[in-house]
Amino acid sequence: MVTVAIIGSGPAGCYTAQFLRKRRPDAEITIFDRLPVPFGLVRYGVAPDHQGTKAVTRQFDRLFEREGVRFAGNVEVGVDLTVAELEEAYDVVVVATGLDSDRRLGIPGDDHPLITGAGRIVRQVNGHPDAGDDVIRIGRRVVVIGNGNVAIDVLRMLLKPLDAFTDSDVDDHVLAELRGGGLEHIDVVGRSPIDRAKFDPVFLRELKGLPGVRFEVDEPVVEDSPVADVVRGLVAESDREAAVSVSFRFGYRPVAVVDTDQGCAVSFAAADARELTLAADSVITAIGFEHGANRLYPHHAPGAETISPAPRTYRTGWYRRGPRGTIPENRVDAREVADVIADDIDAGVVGVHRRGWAALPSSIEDKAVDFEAWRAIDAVEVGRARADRARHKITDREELLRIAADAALSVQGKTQEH
Amino acid sequence: MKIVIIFGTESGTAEFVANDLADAIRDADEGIEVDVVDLADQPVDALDATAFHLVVCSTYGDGELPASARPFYDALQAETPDLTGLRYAVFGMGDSSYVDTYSHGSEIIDQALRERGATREGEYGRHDASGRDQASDVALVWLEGIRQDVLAPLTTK
Repeated sequence: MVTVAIIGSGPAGCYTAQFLRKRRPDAEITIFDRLPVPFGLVRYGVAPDHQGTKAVTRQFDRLFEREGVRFAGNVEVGVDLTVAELEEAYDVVVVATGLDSDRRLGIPGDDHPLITGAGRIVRQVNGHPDAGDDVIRIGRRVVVIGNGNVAIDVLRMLLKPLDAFTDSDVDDHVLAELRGGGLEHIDVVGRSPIDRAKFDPVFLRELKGLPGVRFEVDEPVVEDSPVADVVRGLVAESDREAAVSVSFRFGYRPVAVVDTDQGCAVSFAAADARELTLAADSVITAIGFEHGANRLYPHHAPGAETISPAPRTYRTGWYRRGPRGTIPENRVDAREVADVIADDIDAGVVGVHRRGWAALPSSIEDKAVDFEAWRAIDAVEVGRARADRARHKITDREELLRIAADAALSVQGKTQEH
Repeated sequence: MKIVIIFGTESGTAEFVANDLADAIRDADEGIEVDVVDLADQPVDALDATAFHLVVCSTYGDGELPASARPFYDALQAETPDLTGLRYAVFGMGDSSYVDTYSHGSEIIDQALRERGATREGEYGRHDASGRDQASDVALVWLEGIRQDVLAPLTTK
């Protein structure tokens, strides 16, 4: 029986487990997560008002409930367990840790305290335990840098009426705090011209019909592209009298961020040498994700998409391919990775003799949060939600662990009765 | 009798639902044979008209077909097989927050099948990913309706 450790329980890790299970019904598969709760990006990186996208966890539930995959939450590889220990215990190690840091602007002043990464904001409104208590207040004037779908997520978080978050799992406290500064204007600035902007028109269209918001463009949109069509529509249909305005500015690359009396100012340059300086109370960057400081396997080349950078070690999802592709695209990727792993096992490239979970020190079993315990946490979160919310996430790690420990005790109690 | 469940999926949820439907039919133990086939693996000239088909299909992006249904659809258009006599029911999946294109993926397949002469029967099932109900729960309720309205008359004949 082959033993497989997957590091990270986000979509990349879960899909890889799913396809691996189909190929190897006999494999012992453990999915580790450094958090006490599963699903990574689905829980913390998908915007809280996109519950349809988050519903993918229902198929992942089944992995743990019926298909014998073990969830080991609250175990951080590299901290609680070294990579060497993990490799010693398992025949196969799959790295599915994603990319958890917002890419920095890489320009003078990009460490200005008024700059926040969009990923961090999405984690905060999603109740991530490590996102920090210091929720930013966006203030009156905001500059959003980046023209991808994460930028649109941020715009919805900042602009959608609070009562339009029905059935979401948004952290209402964070959302109110974030928007508490009396927002007047948002500049949305992207490097590409409008017809090459990365916005998905489907996402962009979700901004249609937002009450109290006026959309503008800095010059008339003459281009013909799906994004241009949506932007034209947003501008034409929006409320002229609205108190909050949003300006799209295409074709500008950021040059520097400087401190000012009121806040900060971001200067931009266009390809045709035009320049632009925007004053801001806060700047939100949405220009992609990169490896954080705690990256496992720092010696693996960052750009290469090699599936197996070392014997018995495999990579999947964003960790392998970079921050590109939706959740379904990562499913296709996961199938490819699972096939490579299964082929290697079939071909005898991977030795099948390590004992897996049983070979780990008992301290790991003691601290691991299993799927039963997660279901107890899940039930508490759903139970605490107000009527118009799907879930009220617990952000305090200690509290999550307490609920998990209580659940483990009650399971023990039940077994002792028999 | 035989039922073939064909699914078109992007995120895997339609496959998941298809497998749940198959389990429910097998568990009912009425001697019905069930196959579950990814549309990506279903040649259009090998559709079995003696079997009743359940089409489970999601929607992707701007009301488009999910990845696994695209080759099947393209083949229906290119090869124009005659599907007269093929009978099927549809369970469509989508997300109603995309108002204009909700559940369109399954409708594209439905229309293509009808244009080739196949006949849709029973209620058109739908699941909304933005709602609170789980896809499989909604699909199983839909399946009950299909069993009563479509399959029961077939088996008693």
